Amino acid sequence: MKLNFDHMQLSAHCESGAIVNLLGYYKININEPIAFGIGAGYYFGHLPFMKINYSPATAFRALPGLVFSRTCKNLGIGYERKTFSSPQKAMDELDRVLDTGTPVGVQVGVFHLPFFPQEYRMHYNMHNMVVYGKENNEYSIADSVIAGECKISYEDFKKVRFPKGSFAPNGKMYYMTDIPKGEIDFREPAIKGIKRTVYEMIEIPFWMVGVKGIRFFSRQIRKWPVKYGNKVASQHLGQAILSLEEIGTGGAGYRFIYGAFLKQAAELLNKPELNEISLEMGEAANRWRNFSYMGARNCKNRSEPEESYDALADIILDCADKEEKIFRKLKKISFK
Amino acid sequence: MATEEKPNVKIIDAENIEVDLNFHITHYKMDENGNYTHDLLANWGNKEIVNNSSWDIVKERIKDAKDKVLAGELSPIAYYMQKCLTDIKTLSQYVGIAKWRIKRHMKPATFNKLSEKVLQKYADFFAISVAELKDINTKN
Repeated sequence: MKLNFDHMQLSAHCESGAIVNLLGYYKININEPIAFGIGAGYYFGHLPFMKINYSPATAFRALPGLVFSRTCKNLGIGYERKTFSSPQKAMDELDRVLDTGTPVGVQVGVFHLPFFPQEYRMHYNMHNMVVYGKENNEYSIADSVIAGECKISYEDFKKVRFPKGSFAPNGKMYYMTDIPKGEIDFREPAIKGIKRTVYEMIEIPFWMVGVKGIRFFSRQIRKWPVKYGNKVASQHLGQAILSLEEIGTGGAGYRFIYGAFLKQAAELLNKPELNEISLEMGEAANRWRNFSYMGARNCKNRSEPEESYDALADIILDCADKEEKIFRKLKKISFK
Repeated sequence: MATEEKPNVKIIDAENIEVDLNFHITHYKMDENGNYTHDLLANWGNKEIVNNSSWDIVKERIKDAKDKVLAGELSPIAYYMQKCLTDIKTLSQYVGIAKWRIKRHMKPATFNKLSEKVLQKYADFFAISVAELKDINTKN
């Protein structure tokens, strides 16, 4: 069987894209920034003890799966989220849910994903897509990064749902069970989403996450050339820029998407203050973009940096100041 | 897209990869009036430099491993592992062999004594034949 899925949209962030595509099936009109904002996907974390491609990990969004569950909770949608111990059980359950006429979101590893461009097929286990049909042992998939319908065979699909390595999804699948009747009001959920993001950015007392994390990141950058030498420093920098700009962030580490969300929220909640804040968010995002521009020059010749790491660290500090200002303001706004 | 031209690609081959710098992804931006738009773009600015440098680093790592294998300091497992961007932890989980054993198998002396069964496990993951696993210069 195959569900009608002609509303598919392309998007930057794979999980928000999956949510948009899932909700679209139930005729709920939502766009990517709103889904991302309501799900409070905005985040920062610099975790030097976790290595990606031999470089410290820098995260610009919440852990995979969180955006989906938060969006559903905030919108009052019932949902089911499952992981499995065995691939066979995972496939059987997926078939069962598909047969009831429900599109299913799955978290997969891209290493064995056949329709993905080869250069993106690393050991990255946090990709999300929507399954909406099964015909002749082939699944139809709406991948928000790739246009059109993608096909994947049963065997391959089993493999990509059970990849190994860090953040292995163990066949994680999610779907909506209970859709509220009538028009959904986005106002209350948007407020909840903003409050959650404010909490995560400025109120968590841990130095590696939130605005504190950005300052920590800046201190680390300053240390890199001294601690590791220019070559390794430029490798770390390159990896940070890749996670900032390349892997489905919509540019500047989701900062632009969040700005777009604030802009829409201003209209939705009728709060002109939010318009101003969205402008500031755009400026912060442009600052991050500056960082990637300048940082990229250091990757050209790895042993002789063109820009000093101190200057780069200063840009990051500036970003931290801008973001702290934004979230302090957001916290003060009374939404009642 | 690379996958469409080469449908038989099983896993990534970082040594001979041709990076498609024209793959379009959605990018958001803010214009002068503070309105946000989004568009499918291949480049955000300096994409090429960062990408090239990160692939250069990977290729250096592979070449390093290859030289050591040819010099007889490491077993081919080290080379194939780098070639598909894997580290020991991930490799260990995929083939089901403990990390310390994989480290031992990277010594040529131990590697030469491995049974067919163990070699097959590695070959399956690297999507190559056992003959190719034993000799990195084999061309199929």
